[in-house]
Amino acid sequence: MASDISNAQFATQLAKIYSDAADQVDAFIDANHDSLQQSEDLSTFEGFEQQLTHYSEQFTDLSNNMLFTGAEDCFGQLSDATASIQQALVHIKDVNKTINIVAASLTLAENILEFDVKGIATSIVGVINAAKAQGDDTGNH
Amino acid sequence: MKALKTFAGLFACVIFLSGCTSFKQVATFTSCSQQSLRGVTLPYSGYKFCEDSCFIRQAPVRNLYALKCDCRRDSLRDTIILNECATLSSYYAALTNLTGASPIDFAPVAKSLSAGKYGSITITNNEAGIFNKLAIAATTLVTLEYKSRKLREFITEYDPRVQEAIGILKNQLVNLQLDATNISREYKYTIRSAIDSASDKGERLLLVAMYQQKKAQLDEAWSGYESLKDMLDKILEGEKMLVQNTADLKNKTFIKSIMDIAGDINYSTPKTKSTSDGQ
Repeated sequence: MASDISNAQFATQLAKIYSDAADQVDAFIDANHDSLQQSEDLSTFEGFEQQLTHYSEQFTDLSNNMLFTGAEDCFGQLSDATASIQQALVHIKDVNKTINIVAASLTLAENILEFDVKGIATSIVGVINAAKAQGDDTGNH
Repeated sequence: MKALKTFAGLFACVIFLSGCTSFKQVATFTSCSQQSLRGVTLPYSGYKFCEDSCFIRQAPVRNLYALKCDCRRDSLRDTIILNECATLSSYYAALTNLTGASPIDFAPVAKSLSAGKYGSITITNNEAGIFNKLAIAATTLVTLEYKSRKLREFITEYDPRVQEAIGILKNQLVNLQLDATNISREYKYTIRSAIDSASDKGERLLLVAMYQQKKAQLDEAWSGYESLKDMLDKILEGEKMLVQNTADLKNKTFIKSIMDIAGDINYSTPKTKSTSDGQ
C-alpha cells in the first residue's frame, strides 16, 4: 500500500500536470487571441484554462492534507494518460482537436477526484484517443 | 568559482563553531542545516494564496466590506509548515551539540500538532508521528547531554524520519510554489478579460501596470521556492552522505564532500525577505 507521502507526492504531480496544461492553453490564447475572439472560441478556451487551474488547485489541496489515496492503483494507468496530455498540449494546432483533449482531461480530473475507478479507466481511453488524434497532426504518435 | 561559492557559503556557518570538536566538518554541515531551516520564511504563503484567490473570485466587489475571505485554515497550514522546519532545525542543532561543538542557539521545539482534523486541515498519523518523534529526539539530545560517541547511533536511528520529514516538507513547498503559478495565471486571465472590456486606453494601461506588478511579486516568490527546494535537496544529500559514512566520519573524501554540501546549503538559502504577510 502506498504511504501518505507517496500519495501526496502523486497528487502534487497531478497538480503540476494540470497546471502545465493550463499554461499551454494560456500560451495558445496569447498567440491566437484575435482569431479566437473572431471565431467566438475565446470564452471556451478561457473556461478550459480556468477549469484546468481549478483542478490543479484541488489536487494541491488534497496533497497538502495528505488526503489523496489510491496513488498505487491509479499510477500505472494514469502515467500513459498524463504523458499524452503533456505531449498533446505542447504544440497546439487544431482548435477542435485541442478542445477534445482538454475536455477529456477535465473529465479525467473529475473522475480522479471522485475516486471513480471505472470512470478513470474510461476517461483515460478518451484522453489517449484525443491525444492520438492531435498527434496525427503534429507527427507525435 | 565552486571554491569561492563554498567558502562564501561556509563563512556564515563556521563563525558559530568556535568550540573544540572532533567532528568539525559534521558540525559545519549540521549547523548550516540548522541555521538555514530556522531562517525559512514562506515566499508566498498559503494564507496569501487564499486571500488572492478570494479577491479574484469575488472581484469586482462594490466595497471592501463586501470582500469576505476566511483564510484561517491556510494560516494554520503555514504555521504547521514553519513548525516542521523549526523541528528539523532543532534536530540539527541538537546534532551539532552532540559533535562537541560549542552550544549553539537551540530554539525550544514547539509541540507539534497531534494527528486529527483541524477544521478542513488534516494532520495524518504519519506526518504528526515523524515530526513529534524528531522534536522529542532533539529535546532529549540537548537536555540529557549525551557524549559525542553517541553521534553515530543517533544519526543512524533518526535518519529514516529525517529523510521522510524532508520529503514531506519539500512536497508542501512544491504545492505552495504551484499555488503561486496558478494564482499568477488566474490574475492574468482576470486582467486579460478586464482589458478586453476596458473602455479606454488609460484604463487598459492601469490594468497592465497592475498585472505587471503582481506578476513580478509572484515570479519572485516562485524563485524563492526554487531556492528553498534546492536547500532541502542539499540537506537531504548531506543527510544521506552522513548516514552512509557513520562508520568513518573522518574519511577525507567524506569530509571534502560534506563541506562542499554545507557551503551549498547556505549558498542556496533564499536571502530575500518574504513578501507575504500571512506568516
